[in-house]
Amino acid sequence: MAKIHYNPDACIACNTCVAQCPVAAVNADFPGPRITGPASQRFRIMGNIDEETLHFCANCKNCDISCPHNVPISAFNMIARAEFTKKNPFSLRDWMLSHGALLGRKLGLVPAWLRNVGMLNPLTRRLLDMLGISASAPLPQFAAQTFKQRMRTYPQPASQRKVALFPGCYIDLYDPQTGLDLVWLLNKAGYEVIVPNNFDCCGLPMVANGFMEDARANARSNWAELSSWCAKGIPVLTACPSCNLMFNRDLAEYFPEIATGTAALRDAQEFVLECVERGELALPAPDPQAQPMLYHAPCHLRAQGLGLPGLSLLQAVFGKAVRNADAGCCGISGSYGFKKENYGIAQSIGQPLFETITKSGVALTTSECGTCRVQIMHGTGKPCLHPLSLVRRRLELQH
Amino acid sequence: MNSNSDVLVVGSGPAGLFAALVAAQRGKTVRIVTQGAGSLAICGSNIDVLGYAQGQRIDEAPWAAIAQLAPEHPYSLVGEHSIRSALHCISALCAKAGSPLSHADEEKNTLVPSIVGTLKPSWLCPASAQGNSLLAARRVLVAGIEGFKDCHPALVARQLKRYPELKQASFQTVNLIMPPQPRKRTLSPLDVARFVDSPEGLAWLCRSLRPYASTADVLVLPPVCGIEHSGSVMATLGKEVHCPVVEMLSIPPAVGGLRLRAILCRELAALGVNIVENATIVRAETAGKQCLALISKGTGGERRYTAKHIIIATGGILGGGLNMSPTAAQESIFGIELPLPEVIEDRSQEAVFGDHYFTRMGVQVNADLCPVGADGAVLFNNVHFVGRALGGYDYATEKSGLGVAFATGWAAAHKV
Ligand SMILES: Cc1cc2nc3c(=O)[nH]c(=O)nc-3n(C[C@H](O)[C@H](O)[C@H](O)COP(=O)(O)OP(=O)(O)OC[C@H]3O[C@@H](n4cnc5c(N)ncnc54)[C@H](O)[C@@H]3O)c2cc1C
Ligand code: SF4
Ligand code: SF4
Repeated sequence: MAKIHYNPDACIACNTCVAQCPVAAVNADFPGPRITGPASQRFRIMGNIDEETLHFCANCKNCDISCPHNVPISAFNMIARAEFTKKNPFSLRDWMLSHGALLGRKLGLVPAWLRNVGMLNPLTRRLLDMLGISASAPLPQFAAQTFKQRMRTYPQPASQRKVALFPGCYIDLYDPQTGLDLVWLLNKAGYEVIVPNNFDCCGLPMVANGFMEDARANARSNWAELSSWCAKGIPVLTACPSCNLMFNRDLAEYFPEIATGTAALRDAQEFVLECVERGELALPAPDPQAQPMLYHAPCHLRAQGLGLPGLSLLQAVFGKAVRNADAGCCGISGSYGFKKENYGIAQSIGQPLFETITKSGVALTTSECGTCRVQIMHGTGKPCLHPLSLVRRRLELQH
Repeated sequence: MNSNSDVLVVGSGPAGLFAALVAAQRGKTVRIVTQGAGSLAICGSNIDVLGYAQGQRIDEAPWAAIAQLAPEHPYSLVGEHSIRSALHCISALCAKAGSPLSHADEEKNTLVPSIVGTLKPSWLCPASAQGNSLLAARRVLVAGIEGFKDCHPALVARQLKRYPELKQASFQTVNLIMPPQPRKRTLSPLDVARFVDSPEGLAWLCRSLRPYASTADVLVLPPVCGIEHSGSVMATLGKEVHCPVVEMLSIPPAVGGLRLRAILCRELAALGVNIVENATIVRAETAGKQCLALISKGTGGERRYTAKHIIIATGGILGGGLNMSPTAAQESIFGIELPLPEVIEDRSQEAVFGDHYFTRMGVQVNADLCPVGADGAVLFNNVHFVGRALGGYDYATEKSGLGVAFATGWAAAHKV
């Protein structure tokens, strides 16, 4: 792996990141981002460090969001984790959690109900628990058909204006309906949606679990595919904040040799907002009867510097009925909160959000990220939908 | 992507958050674009207005001294009415959030102890401080927490005793022992404050302090009285411990600023202000004396933000609003040149709190807080600078940090 030497000396030791790290806030054994990131990096450069507490980092990016000096703190942690994974015994659990797309493909021949029975029955959960996946963790259920399968027969009006879609593993395997809601909205805005076959998992779960070389392989083929669509002038969208973060920010940090040129994945919510701006999609006036709902901003979205376009869309069609919960990280961080040793940490981190939702009395919550939604439903018992699904509902009701 | 609002604020330190809040309260649509969480995440919650002028500590009302400040000082530009209104507004917000701030006395600075045993003149303090109860006390308890590297009660007591105000007082010291002990990191006030936010933590603090209520007139603690629930923590301490509690100012990761930040952010969310995080404004589009748009860099390319009015709250060298190299000093978005003494030695002085050029360096503005060039002519009519990005003051020496941040934020929000 190419050695990337970011300069840890950009850190002025102000401790802002420590104050904002959700894991450090609930777990007193984690020294926090300043120490595991820039401060340890100096010792890593000298080859002299034990990585005793590195596993605590959830890769949630709140440190990066808060740092006044753009220190690539979480990247320090993830690159160090990759080195650590290389030198230490192989974890089947971490491999499974980070290679969901591959597992999904292999299991694809088995019907979903059987896969779900297989994965979610108490016996399997006990087995998974023994492997280190908490029996209490809210593992998502496989959909009967993947998003890609459903798109093969989904009728779309042909159009000269085309966009391509990077569904991401979550929508593809577990939540095809959100993907279809996006397609519905894009069709309505006059676009035909292509779902390219050659995209693979974005690789973020691999990075978070220390499998940097696997992530590199995915990055290479994904970036080539992305570049080819962009070269044709066809925008490539994703509704998943983490995939977008991986393509547009993390790849440049980990694999600068791959993420070259001007190709970029686009945030689907931002794209839909632009459709509205261009007059391609008409939104109804805010519904005065809309039931109150709370929006949760995924950390991986906040880390991107593009604001909260999903919330803007929701506010456009639901007005003041939708509010930003603004109660911090939900705790799950992809597969982090599924792990036995992290499950408790993840629940404690999410507590303020769960309480905010419960106390508000809303019956409905919304967030872009698939695993945030799973965690919110687990923590509050309230449904949590993707903003695009709610926008579609509102548009359908209008007719 | 192009986003429009009435007001665009850059930076989420105290000046930016407060300016955004006041503008939103006045019915404007507001968007904040910020890189980093701003210095509230590391500073104290005591709102300094003016603690020193011409090297003299100001114990009485700072207003007379404010009236004497140089004309280019931000306070002189915005005037006493703006300063008072801003302080009134932030007090009201904190009171509404259940964490009231108070004065020692309507018209006096309060002397607040620091974690190294110095006294700092400040204006608004967490209400539990009950004014100058430290100075009125004959018997002072200084409590540390076992495991705090940065707070040594005996040292604090020794230092405080050197002040004439506390010569008569007797001191006792203690280290409280917090039950959950971190194993792999050094304990900080932030850890204890978070513990005290929980019911067990609060019960522990009450239990630990109660025995001293009969032997001391005031309990001096590091800033550990909660963050999210600091208001109710203070109230409970008042009811359960029966002895005034004064928090010391501490070093980052600090607690007080996080309290203020949480209050401001909650109010901004309630007002529907959108915050674009982790985005750096990299340049401005201007035409004549108007700023048309600011351009940010985020994932997937640049974004363009337009607004009728723009408030720049990007801080100083620490915050990223000002850049200095050996040969030049510049404001970081518009590239406004700041005059710089030729000789490097002239940019600072030997004494730590001396009259340094670099600590006063910043953007020069007119009474509308619009930037002006070296000749005094306005550069942009719709751009207002607030907080530490401004020149003409030195918050560290004067003790005027949050005071200037809030006063200028309030004033700018009334110009838009
Ligand atoms: C450790 C410490 C303790 C302090 N304690 C106290 C105290 O107890 N009481 C008191 O009154 N004062 C205190 N102060 C002083 C006070 O904090 C400062 O004077 C005040 O915070 C300045 O606020 P600001 O909003 O102007 O700047 P900052 O808080 O520095 O905020 C600047 C913001 O702008 C952002 N930014 C910069 N450039 C860009 C860009 N190009 N694009 C987007 N965003 C950008 C930054 O990331 C940041 O969010 C303390 C200061 C420090 C450092
Ligand atoms: S990525 Fe998240 S968990 Fe990891 S150090 Fe940063 S803030 Fe903490
Ligand atoms: S926020 Fe950035 S500069 Fe401050 S301690 Fe953390 S890494 Fe260092």
